[in-house]
Amino acid sequence: MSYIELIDVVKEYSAKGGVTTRALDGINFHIEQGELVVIVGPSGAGKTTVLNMLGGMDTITSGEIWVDDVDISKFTPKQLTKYRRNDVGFVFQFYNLVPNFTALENVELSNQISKNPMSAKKIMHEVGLSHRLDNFPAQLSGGEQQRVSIARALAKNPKIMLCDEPTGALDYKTGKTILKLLQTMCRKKGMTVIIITHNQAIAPMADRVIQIKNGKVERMGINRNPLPVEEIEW
Amino acid sequence: MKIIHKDVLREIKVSTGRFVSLFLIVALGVAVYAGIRSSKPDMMISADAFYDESNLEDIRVMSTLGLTDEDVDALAKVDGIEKAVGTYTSDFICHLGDSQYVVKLMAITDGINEITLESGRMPQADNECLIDNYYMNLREYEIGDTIEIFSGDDTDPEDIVNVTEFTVTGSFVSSEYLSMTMGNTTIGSGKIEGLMAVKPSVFALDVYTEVDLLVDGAKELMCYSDEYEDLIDGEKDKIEEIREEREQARYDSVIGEANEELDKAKKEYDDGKAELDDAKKQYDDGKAELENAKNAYYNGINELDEKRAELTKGENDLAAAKTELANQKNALQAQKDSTYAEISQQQSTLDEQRAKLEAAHEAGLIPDAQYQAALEQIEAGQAQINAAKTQADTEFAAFDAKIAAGEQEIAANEQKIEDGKAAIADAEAQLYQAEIDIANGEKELEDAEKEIADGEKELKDAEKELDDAEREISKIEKAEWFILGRNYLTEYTSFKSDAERIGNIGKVFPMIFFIVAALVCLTTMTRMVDEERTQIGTLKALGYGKGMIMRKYIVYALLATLFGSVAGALAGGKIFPFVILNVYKILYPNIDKLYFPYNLEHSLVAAGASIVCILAATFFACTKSLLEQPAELMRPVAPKQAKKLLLERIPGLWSRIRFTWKNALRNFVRYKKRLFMTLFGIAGSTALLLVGFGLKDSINTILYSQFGSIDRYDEVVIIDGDATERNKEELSGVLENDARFGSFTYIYQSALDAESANTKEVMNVYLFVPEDMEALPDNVDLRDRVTQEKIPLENDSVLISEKMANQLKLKAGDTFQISSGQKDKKTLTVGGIVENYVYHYIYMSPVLYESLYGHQAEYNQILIKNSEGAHVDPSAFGEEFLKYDAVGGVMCVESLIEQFEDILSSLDSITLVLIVCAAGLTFVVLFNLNNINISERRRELATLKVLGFYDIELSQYIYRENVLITIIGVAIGVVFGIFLNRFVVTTVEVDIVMFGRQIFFPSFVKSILIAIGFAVIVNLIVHLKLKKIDMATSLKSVE
Repeated sequence: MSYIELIDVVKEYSAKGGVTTRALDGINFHIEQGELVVIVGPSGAGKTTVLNMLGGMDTITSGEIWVDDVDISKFTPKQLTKYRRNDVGFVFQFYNLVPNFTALENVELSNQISKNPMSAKKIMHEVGLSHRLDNFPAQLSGGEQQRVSIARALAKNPKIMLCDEPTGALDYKTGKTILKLLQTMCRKKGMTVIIITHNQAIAPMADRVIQIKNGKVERMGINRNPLPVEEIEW
Repeated sequence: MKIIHKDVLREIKVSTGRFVSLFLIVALGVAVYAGIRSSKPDMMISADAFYDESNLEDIRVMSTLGLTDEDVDALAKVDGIEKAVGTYTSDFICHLGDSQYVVKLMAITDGINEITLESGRMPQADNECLIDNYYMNLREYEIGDTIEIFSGDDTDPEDIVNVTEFTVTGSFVSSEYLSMTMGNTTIGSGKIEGLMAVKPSVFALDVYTEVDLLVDGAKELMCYSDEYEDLIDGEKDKIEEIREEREQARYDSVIGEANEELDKAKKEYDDGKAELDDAKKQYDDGKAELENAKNAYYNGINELDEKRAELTKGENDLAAAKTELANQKNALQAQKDSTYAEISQQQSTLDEQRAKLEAAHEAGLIPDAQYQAALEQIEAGQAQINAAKTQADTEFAAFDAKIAAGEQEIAANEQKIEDGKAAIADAEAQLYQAEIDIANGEKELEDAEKEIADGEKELKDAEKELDDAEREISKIEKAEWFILGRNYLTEYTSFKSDAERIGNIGKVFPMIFFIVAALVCLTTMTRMVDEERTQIGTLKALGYGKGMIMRKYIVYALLATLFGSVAGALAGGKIFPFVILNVYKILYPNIDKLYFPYNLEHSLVAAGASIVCILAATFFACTKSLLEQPAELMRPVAPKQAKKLLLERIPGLWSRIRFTWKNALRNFVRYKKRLFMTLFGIAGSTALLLVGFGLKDSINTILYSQFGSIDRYDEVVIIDGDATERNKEELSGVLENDARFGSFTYIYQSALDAESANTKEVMNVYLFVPEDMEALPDNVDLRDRVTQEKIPLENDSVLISEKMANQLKLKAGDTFQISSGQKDKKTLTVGGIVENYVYHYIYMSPVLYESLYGHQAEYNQILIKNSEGAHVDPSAFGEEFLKYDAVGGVMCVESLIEQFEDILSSLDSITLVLIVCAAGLTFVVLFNLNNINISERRRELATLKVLGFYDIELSQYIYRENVLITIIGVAIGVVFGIFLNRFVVTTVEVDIVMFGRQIFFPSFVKSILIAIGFAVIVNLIVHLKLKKIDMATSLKSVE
């Protein structure tokens, strides 16, 4: 069995008036440990729902989600929280830093609750923000904020890192440096990194590319020779 | 409907919480303002209705010399007087069981000062009466009971009333007396305990004691209002104009009458004197007669003695005569016997001789001659014997006759003596009678003497009386009229000041709510505008004007405010006056109908103030955003800069603080509006709770300080006014021998009026004079309230109770006056001010009393202390002791405590209202704070959830702020509450009582716990809300 495996995952939302929308319609894919994965697809294809399921933020209607030999789809809400707390690092499109905390404190926020954290300062150094430790988010640029966000995710030492459109709110150049950082971290730490994006252009940097369309996996491909970020253009 | 208006309705639907919190805080503010503010007019309206309904007099005229029908007519003719009615009142004493009470007897009048029948029927005959409802219930009278009234001083009740015994036909209330305080009097205990209403014909007075007046147009005005007071003052001035003339007329007529009576009395005196003179003359005559009788008596006695001697002599003579006669008789008999014996011997000798001769003759022995011769001889002898016999017979017959005559004489003499004896007996009887007569005469004379002496004394007294009367007539002062408005009625004014006190509270209390309401609105609307930046920007970009856009928010806030105002005014306008008036009804039980009309003025003011506050807040919130360019508005709001706190400069400290706390602390600095809103709300809520519990503590203080540590006695026995020394000794003996009682001491207590130059107020106070200064500290602890130091009672000054000192603005060294009904005025010096909570006291040493009044105080009460551990049942105590003649009444401190506990429980409703208000405040502000916090930080919270925060950790993240604000708010609230409580307590306390000033520890604990409890409830609800936050929110873009 692979490190992460989704088997026939179906997610239905029942709206008011009995109308049921099927967001995921039997998704099947698997990911190996240490891979940099890009999940790509157009808006409304079900990317975010996949991310929610993988991140333990929502329950599925049917199917199985295996992460490191555990079926998280059977988890209770409490177990899910624990899973998010210890095993998942999350990088948001809009960074979602706590405005009341300095950059360092935002990282500490996550490492204080996890089982096996890394030093916050060390991580900040690794993301290249040693000089911005005491700044509040409002005093940081978007790229810097996203780095703090990545640092916050990494600080937990998670099993998987989920990144939701990490470059969506950033300009091209900053976006590239963020992707570079993610690739570096993946390679250096051997961490499983999953990037969700609608930007097809990012796909070449991934070890594995999963294309989702209409709630189904349209295509899953393995990239034998992922390109370094510097070589990607969009 | 314009689309933008639709937006408002949808907005309300979507943000129900926000709308409701605005609605609630406005409703709360308006309810408290309108409610408490309305209480004052409602109290006055209720009183005014009662006054008008019963035609309570507007003006009362009294005169030192009474008022006549002419006075009434003159008053009725004064311009503006609707009605003038002369009537009577007089104070009497009535007995109930073994106690005596002072009652005010009043004539039932028609069309003015009408009484309200509470039970039974109106009196139809002179010997029927009504008694006031309170007194009836208190003393457990029943319809059909009889009440006899007695004079309280030396006047004869018959001079005042025609009937002194009445049958109770029912009970009544009078608008003159709203409560159980009926005022003071000069008789009995000095305190009027009840009212009796009778037909006017019961009164025998020839002048009215007062004339009650109704003023034209006064009824239409609210009593207590300035318009009313002005009208009455104007009318009083008009009465002033006829005053002098009427006073003079009354004086003249009184003087005339008095002189007339004096002349009559003088004549009577003269007659009496003449009568006495006659009596004296008669006495003298009688005395002379008696002397004569006495002389005659003594003469009679002498005469009698003489007669008795004579009689004795006669008797002796008679006895001698009798003896002589008997001797004579015996001698005569003997002579007679010897003579006749001799004769008969001679005869016998002759007869022998004759026989011998005859025999010899016969025998012939003797010649015839011889014989013859012898015979002749014998014959001659015979003749001789016969002659002797005859001679003897004659002789003896003479003798016999002589003796018979002697005997006759003796018999006659004997008869004479008998007669003499009878005469003496008669004389003796006569003398005896005379003796008795004399004795009677003497006694009569003695009585007459005494009578004359009495008569002389009476005459002398009469003379003195005449002199006095003359002097008194010369002393009769000009009649003086007292023209009094309703302010003269104690109850009328005390009710007014109570209403004003509530009015004062209404000035301060609602401020808390308005400040909080404004803050809540400011923060809420600011947040609302912030949330809708994008929409505002879009609308602006679409070409909507500022006013148009702002209208949504204005309308939104206005709707909340309007609904809130209406709801608050409707609920508060009834609930607060209802609770407050019902609490006051305990103090003024006679007002039977309470009115709670909606008070438009206060509701509008409250609503207006809310609207202004909230519109200003909304406008303030909107303008900032609306001034920005649409493009800026489309972009997310630049987050408010977080700042480093001073706290962080302390090395090593910040890194040790948990991030949840860090967040809370930074938020504090970041959102000051919210901080103040919440702090204010929670502080206000705590303060309200503290006021509620503190109010009860204040009364508890009365209980435990007054009846526990100040008044140390357990029972009071009031000495009956008629008790004799022996009665009192009996009572003392009983008390001494009863093991339940440890000690007892006599005191003098009497109700008085006190006034000082510092204020206009006249206060009813008690003068307290201990008999034994040594025993005083055991019974009453005279001490300073703050330092608890004992204050000694000196002989040159008095101690007064604290509230009295405050009311009359007196401090140690000041002087003030006491009097009873303006009589007997004395000036006293304040030696010190002592802690006291119930009634007002002047403590005076017996030495000072005596030097002031010229006589010893008549100790009229006994303070009794129970033995250690002994318990005396109050009702049994009364029953037991009222038996004694010396006892006029009893009182147990234990039953007083029970009465106060009743008042205490009545305050529960106020405490409850305060708790509800406090809860409302806490809920509104904390909900609001949390609502804003959650909606503003929804994204942040969702992120934290994604990061793997447990529910409880997430709640704590928000709670830290709540907890911190709650703690600080409660701390501020405690301080604020202490001041607010002080204000409320001093404002609401009634005249006769001083409430305690401190709040007890448990009340702090309770207030704090309840305030925190409210916060906890809000936090629990917040917890549920947080659980519902969707993590997907974290993925959405910033709006």
